[in-house]
Amino acid sequence: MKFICSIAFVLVGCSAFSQSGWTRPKNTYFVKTSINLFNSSTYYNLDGEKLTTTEFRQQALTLYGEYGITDRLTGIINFPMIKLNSYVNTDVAAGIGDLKLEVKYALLRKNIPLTISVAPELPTGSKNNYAQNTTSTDQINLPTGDGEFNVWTTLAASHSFYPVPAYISISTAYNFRTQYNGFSFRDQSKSNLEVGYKLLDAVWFNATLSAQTSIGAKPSGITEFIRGEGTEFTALGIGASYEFVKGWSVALQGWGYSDLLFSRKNIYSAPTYSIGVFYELKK
Amino acid sequence: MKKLLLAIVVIVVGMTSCSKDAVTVTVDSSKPDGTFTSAKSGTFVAQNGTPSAGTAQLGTDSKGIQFLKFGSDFKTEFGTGTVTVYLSTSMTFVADPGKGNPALKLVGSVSKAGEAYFKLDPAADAKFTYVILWCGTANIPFGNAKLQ
Repeated sequence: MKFICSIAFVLVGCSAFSQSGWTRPKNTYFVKTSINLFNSSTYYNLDGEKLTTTEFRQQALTLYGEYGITDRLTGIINFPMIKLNSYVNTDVAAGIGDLKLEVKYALLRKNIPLTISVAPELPTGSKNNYAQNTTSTDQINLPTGDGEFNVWTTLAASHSFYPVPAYISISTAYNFRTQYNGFSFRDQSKSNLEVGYKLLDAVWFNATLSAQTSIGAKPSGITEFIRGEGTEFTALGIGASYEFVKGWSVALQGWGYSDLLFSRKNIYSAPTYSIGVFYELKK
Repeated sequence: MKKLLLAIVVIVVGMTSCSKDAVTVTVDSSKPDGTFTSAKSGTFVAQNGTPSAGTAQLGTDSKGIQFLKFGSDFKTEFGTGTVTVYLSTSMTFVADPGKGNPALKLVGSVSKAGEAYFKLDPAADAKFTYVILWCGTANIPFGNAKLQ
């Protein structure tokens, strides 16, 4: 499982949560579609204070794909095809999310494969998307994209314990953020650790640890917190995937947020669940 | 003769076109009539990462109608949409709908920075000493100002 929806005050788009040091063999591919479900009334503001709010809900349908352009170069697409955002007291604000295109290059391919990837994220999502409060005349902006162009650069390493069916991946990423409507976002860094083990030669289990923080001091004045400015967290996840037909698998994943490495800031916190189906064409 | 008739026509047309239309004066009842006189004022304190700032004043117009005024320096977070304005007996939003929300008085909503007036008719009770900026959908405070 490769994604989580990191949800800020309203949301930040789905982002690659665990990168690996492997590239895909030439002319092979991996395609996955998944549904993410999230609801929470626990919000941590930009100062890390915990608040109880009206329940926020988000559902997302995401398409993810990888293609081996060469043995060393993999092209990746991550596209939230639809996001449904609402509070329990509003109607639903729906729209597509921000499209992320990524190229990953293998620097090392032997015992400890090492990759570097660059992933521009295009502001294709709705920058402003208002939901109507059903009990008053209030409207609230629940955008499905953050409105800015940003670029993730990731360095990832992995190791297979073959013949033991297990692996470990570790990565660190830097998100170069730009601006929306004159507001300059702080850059972000994110680190991930993932371990996986195949049980009974049938089901892959994984556990992930991820932590994100912002670079630099919190800006004064308008903060654009609804667009993910200052979102920080530590996330823990577990997941499993099962190949039910040759090439076809079903995947389940769950995450929870904590303050283990970086305290939660500007984020709704609650368990997040995902179910997906993927097809992998191997060599 | 023709010149005389032409001169009369020109004069009549000219008089008609120059006649004054009835002047319509529109009174905006949401704004003070005459001079606004402040009785209490306060400065907004930001909450929850919002940029809330500026002054709030409680006062009356020339006819004694009470208004809440936000100064031209007023701002808050509008990226989320409209912001609801309450008068409150404390800096904390204490809702008690079962008893008619005695600690709150709904004033209105605001959707842009800058000067704004809110008419309070009937006038607010003296027990309301704070202005609260409230994100009504999420139930999050964006800021408050103590009126003194």
